[in-house]
Amino acid sequence: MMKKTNRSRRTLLKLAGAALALPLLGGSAMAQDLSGTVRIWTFLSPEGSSPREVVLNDIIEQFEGEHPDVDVVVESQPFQELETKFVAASAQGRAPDIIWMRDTFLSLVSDRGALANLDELLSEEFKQEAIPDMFQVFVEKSVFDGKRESLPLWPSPAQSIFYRKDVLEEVGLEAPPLTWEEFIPVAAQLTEGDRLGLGMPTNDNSVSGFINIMSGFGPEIFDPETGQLDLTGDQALQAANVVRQLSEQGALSPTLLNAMGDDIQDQFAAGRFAMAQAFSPRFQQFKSIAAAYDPEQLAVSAWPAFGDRPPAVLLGPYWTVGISSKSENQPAAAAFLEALYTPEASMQWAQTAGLVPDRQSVLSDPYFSTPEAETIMTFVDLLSAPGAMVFPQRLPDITKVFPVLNTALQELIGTDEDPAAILARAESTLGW
Amino acid sequence: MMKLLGRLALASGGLLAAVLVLGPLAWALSTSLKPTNLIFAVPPELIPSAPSLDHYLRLIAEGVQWSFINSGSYAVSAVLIALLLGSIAGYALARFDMPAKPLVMLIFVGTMAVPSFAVLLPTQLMFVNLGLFNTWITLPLLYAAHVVPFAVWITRAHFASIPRELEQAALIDGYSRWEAVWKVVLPGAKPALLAAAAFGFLHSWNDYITATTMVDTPGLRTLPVALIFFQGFHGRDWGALMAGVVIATIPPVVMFLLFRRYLIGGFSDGSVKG
Amino acid sequence: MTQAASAAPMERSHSIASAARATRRAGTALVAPALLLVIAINVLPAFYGFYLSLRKLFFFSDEGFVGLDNYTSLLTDPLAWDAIWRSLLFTFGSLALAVPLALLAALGIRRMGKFGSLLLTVLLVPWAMSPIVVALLWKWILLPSPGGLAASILSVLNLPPADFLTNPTMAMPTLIVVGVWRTFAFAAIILTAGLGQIPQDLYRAAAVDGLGAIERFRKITLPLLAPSLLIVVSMLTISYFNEVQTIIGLTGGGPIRHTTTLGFLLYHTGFVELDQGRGNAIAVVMFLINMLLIAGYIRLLGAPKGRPAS
Repeated sequence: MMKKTNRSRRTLLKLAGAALALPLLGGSAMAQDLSGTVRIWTFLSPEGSSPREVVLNDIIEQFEGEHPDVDVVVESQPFQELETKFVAASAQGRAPDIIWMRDTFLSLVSDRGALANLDELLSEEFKQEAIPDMFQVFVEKSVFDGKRESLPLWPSPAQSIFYRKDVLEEVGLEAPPLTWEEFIPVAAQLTEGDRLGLGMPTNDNSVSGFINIMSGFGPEIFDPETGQLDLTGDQALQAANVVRQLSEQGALSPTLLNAMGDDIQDQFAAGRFAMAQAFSPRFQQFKSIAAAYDPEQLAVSAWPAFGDRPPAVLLGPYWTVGISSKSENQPAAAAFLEALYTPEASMQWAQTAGLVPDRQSVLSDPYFSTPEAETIMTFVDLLSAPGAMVFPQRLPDITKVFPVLNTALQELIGTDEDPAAILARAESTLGW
Repeated sequence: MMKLLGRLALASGGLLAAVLVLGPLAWALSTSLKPTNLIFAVPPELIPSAPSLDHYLRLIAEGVQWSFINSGSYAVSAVLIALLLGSIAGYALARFDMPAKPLVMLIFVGTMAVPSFAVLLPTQLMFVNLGLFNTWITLPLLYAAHVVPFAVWITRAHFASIPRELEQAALIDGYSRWEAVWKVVLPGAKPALLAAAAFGFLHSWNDYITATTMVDTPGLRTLPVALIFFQGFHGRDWGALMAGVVIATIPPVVMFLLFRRYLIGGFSDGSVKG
Repeated sequence: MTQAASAAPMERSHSIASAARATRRAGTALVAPALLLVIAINVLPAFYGFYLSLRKLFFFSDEGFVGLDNYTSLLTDPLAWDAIWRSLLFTFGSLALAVPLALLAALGIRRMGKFGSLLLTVLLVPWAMSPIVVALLWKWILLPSPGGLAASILSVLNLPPADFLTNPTMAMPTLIVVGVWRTFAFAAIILTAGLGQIPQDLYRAAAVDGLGAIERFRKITLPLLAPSLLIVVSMLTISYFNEVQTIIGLTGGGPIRHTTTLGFLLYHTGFVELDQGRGNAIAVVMFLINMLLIAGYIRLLGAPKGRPAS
């Protein structure tokens, strides 16, 4: 799967060079006029010391240095509750100025009129330079009825498969097979003693491994009209059978029922899995807590696909950042929003936190040819892979879909009930 | 012989019960004092060989002390409000005639019986619409309202058991009505007031569900919410979490130990006399 | 108030009446603040919840009146009935464990004298703790990985780590045990007090009559303790029926919904899925079941009894 690396890297480099050739004007034209407080709701904590938190604090410090009259205040929230709390706060007129949201909740928040039209707030130069420089697959999703309501942050393949090269070598492989047909027996083979072939969170309402498996059929799994999945169709049944087979062969275990992403992360560090579903931006964190294996052996892969489809990469849920329609300090909020996406900021997100830069042009920096940046370039490849797809702009019943499909996933792993019956129940619970 | 065996059984039963209760707490304390690399040691160290306060310092570095202070001030203000309103109402119900007294009593006893969780969702939506959601007064107000019925119920019973003659004697001695209440009636109801105060503190300090659904800015967050928040995102840091368990447990347990006589008395009197 | 108080007897009856009116007014005024607070915050939301349950309300956006739709969809959903059934399982499972344990503890404590009250204090420590903190503590103890406390104890017995919280058949019993660990001593206080009310002469007389220990328990202790037992059972029933924090902290309703009680379903539907219309319908159903339970116990007990909501 690494074969395409060079080609796509080269295209990106060309793109990047072109973007850098444009004069970099720096966004301080209106700096003098800005003042007041900018409140931000994010899941990052101002007291935290994780890589992303370090970078955010740096950006804030620099921004406040350039705009001495602006005070940026970060109020951190549990990440699963950001959208809810924002809508409640917005209804009550005490919304923060800037809000972090998952792309899957965007339409719900937008429908409630809680987000400002960024086209009216962002500077012309930012619109002309920065936005075209971002990964377009994410950028378009934030435009509702012609209004740009948020900007994607940290482009990422979201849920991918992390694996240990040392364990795959035991069966003579360099990377996991990329069709389910081949993947299942390998996962079974890698299951040995206390070690499971595949780890998956089954109780984490912010992800759905089942949709990741279904994405092996491509973007058509989402109905173009309704955004729904056909849970009683043949593709869903095949996906369910993948889970059932993995479980019957021991590669997925009932001990995973109730597992959250954090549990998978802890147990991966303890050497519990050969491969596991994981949130890509946490790659560095996985490495840093590796206890039972050599962190250098950690690698990342796309998801297997069905038939002869290309390997699946479901790009989401990912983070997007917007400005409250009720914000009383929109100019300062917009200026800070722009500060998150300067080429310098993109370099920082990449170098300190191991994230794919939001501005593609910076990929021409020599840093990205160093071995240190190898993982980032792998992610870049995944983002532009032929099997890459995003969630539809309106995924209906978003607050229910993930919990319901996770329960179905648990039933597929933990019971021997007929997969068709499990899927039918999920469909009726969702009322689809 | 039988007697000795019986005693032995009693003693070992008591010991077993104490170990089952205190063992888990000791394990939390032990974990909170271990350096991170020894937390998962096999076999586990029951008494940390190299105790460290790192996890407690980490809590402070993350600003958990502010949530601790929030929890404390919410609990204390809720108790003060509930005691003031509750004892006045309890006194009135014990001493004064008033319209619809049985209905009033039914409202107090009924609301004491229905746990607040059953009406939490509409309360949240009501507070959002009234602009009372997520303010500094939100939780003290809610906790006070949760505790008032108990305060009314227990103080009314105590006021009623203080003979009217005592009050009248004080009036004859030239005290005003309020002096009589302050100097004669209130001291007599001290056990009830302390029981209500201790119960109110435990209720407010220990709540998680109301706090997590009614308040959302970090500056207003309570300790249990801050601890749960600690679970996400960084993976689970069990050392810090157990340090949190220890500091969240100390205040209510100290409160309970100080006032256990009144608390136990309050509940058991209530049930015996009822 | 009437100035034309001319005849002495009239004046007296007037002043009694007005004094009575004055105390009634004073009484009302003194009760009013507490009563208004309780009505505003504990009673009003119940009615507001009923109003909202008749509307389609999702993610804070009110899409209008839908009649009883939320109720019909709830009551025709087999998963909702599963949740009601699990609430009963949790409630009565916990009762079945807590009441005998509390009775045993109370009997032991009565017999231990001074040590008894010390033991009672120790046993009550978990009751003073926050339910969510208790959940965190037990989650750590039960962690099925080497080095965890439960796993280490099992390994001494040569057993593998057990998935207390992830195994569908074990999750509910584990939840019950943890809930009872926190609450049973509260029942023991009331039973200890109840035992103290039984005249000792009865036991002496029974001993003279040659009744054995079991007979004495059956013929004297149990019947005379019945009122206290009823109070304990009623308080615990309501407390267990509404338990939700331990479930949120320990299992999150899983695995495969095996710990999704009605209370957890309410939390999940109303606060996580944000289907607030349906959530309010569940709240109304829960509220009604609570009222039924309370009414039932009031009938059984004869007089209104209080219950601390903790």
